[in-house]
Amino acid sequence: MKRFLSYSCAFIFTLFTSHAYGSKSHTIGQKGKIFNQEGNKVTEIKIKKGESITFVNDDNTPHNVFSMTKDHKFNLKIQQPNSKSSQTFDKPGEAIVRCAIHPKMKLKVIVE
Amino acid sequence: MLMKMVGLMILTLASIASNVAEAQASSEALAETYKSDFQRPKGPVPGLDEENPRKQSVIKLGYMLFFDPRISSSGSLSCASCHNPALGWEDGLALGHGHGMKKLPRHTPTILNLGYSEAEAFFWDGRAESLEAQALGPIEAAGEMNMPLDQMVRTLESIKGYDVLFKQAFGDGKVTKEQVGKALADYQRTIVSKDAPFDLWLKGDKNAIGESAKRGFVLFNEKANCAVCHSGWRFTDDGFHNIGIGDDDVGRAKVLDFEILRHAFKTPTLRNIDLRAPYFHDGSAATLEDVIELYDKGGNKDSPSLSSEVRQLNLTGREKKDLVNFLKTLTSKDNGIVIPTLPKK
Ligand code: HEC
Ligand code: HEC
Ligand SMILES: [Cu+2]
Repeated sequence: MKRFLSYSCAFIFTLFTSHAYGSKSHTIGQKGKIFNQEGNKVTEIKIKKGESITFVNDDNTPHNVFSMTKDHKFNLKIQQPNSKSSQTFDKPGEAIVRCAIHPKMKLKVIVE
Repeated sequence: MLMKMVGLMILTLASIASNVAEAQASSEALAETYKSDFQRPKGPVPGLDEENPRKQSVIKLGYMLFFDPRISSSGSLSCASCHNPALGWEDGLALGHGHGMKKLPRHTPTILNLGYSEAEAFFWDGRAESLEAQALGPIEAAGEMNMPLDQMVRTLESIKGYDVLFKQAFGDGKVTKEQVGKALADYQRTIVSKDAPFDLWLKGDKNAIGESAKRGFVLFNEKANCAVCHSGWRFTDDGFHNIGIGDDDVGRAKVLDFEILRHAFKTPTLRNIDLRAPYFHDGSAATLEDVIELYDKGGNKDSPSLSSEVRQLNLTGREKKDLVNFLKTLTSKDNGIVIPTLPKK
């Protein structure tokens, strides 16, 4: 019974989060001055309009995530180690996201 | 009584010796944990790895252009005048001289190992996105080679010997500024430092570097906090930081106007650093000892944009020496660069 309950909970959860106009949050880490998901380097991520990305600084040094792409401009300012900040992407298109301190940290966000 | 004293002395000596040995062993063990952060990548330089039979011809053309002063308006300055292979690809001056012997506003950086940079940010302030884009800058700059690019193209067209080089590299015999940029960029990608004593030590040669340098390596990663910015095998994060030098140059903030980037400059590689004095974007540190002094103080000047990674270190005299000795192990004996015989008119 317990098991059934947790399965159905999980099912309902996915039902809500996989909605077309997303409200889902994606998580991107920044360890070793590399944008990553679960430890794997990412250079590109596809999300849905309205979804957000949480940038977690799991590194040992500050980062500063921002984008200067038209229609997607934002600046999360200095993020100390162990802090996180989210950014919602409201407009479809492509945004180039970088760290202002370490420009080799570059992520293309494709908003569908 | 005498026997007792001698015995005590022997005991004390033995314990000192074993303490020294222990300290050495523990510093070796610490060093081991950091070694993997500084391994060279395997395989060819990025950008030179594509299957392209013309690549060698493009590189050869770039090699000629790099050493050719005829692409400057005075006919006397080549890239190599300032990026001199005999001086670690720098000019040995605090501030170099451009066209008409005018002083340049910034110190000449090395061009060593730039092919490995993924930051898409060249120059001290990162204003050029690629080596291709970068290369045309100094040719055109009034303060440097002062050569309008269309005039450069005409000059190169007038030198018969270049005809065949451009043809081999790019197919047609036409000269364009884009081709010049490409050739100079690819030639610069080939400029890579070879194994230094530090690399031999990483590979297992225990005697490749001295004990002081080994202690310096641990300090570099721990107490002195250098590796947070000078990371990876080139010892740079290709990032931008204000380390508190304290001059008026706003650096990176001119390109990207963020408060934290005021007076921030690109972290230079530390490869062959011993050959590249003086140091910093303004050439203000004459020696490696001077560089260490600045970091030990936590910078010359505090400001809101000073990196939080730069702070007073309280290094002892011995620790400062250890750091310098470590930095000196990053110099490789790169084979002598042959100066080319340039194409004739
Ligand atoms: C008159 C001296 C001078 C000449 C000639 C010169 N440079 Fe430079 N070079 C400099 C200085 C100074 C800088 C730093 C300028 C800055 O960052 O604002 C620089 C920067 C560079 C950089 C950027 C390095 C980095 O780490 O980002 C490269 C690459 C470079 N030069 C290549 C060349 C090439 C190729 C030529 C020939 C076409 C050339 N230079 C000619 C002085 C010179
Ligand atoms: C916050 C990042 C950061 C830290 C920490 C740091 N550096 Fe640097 N380093 C830089 C930057 C940026 C420059 C160039 C600064 C300038 O010219 O304005 C530099 C320049 C240098 C230079 C001169 C390089 C050249 O080509 O002129 C040396 C040598 C050096 N650092 C060694 C060290 C050592 C040793 C430590 C530790 C005690 C250290 N650095 C700590 C970022 C850092
Ligand atoms: Cu960063």
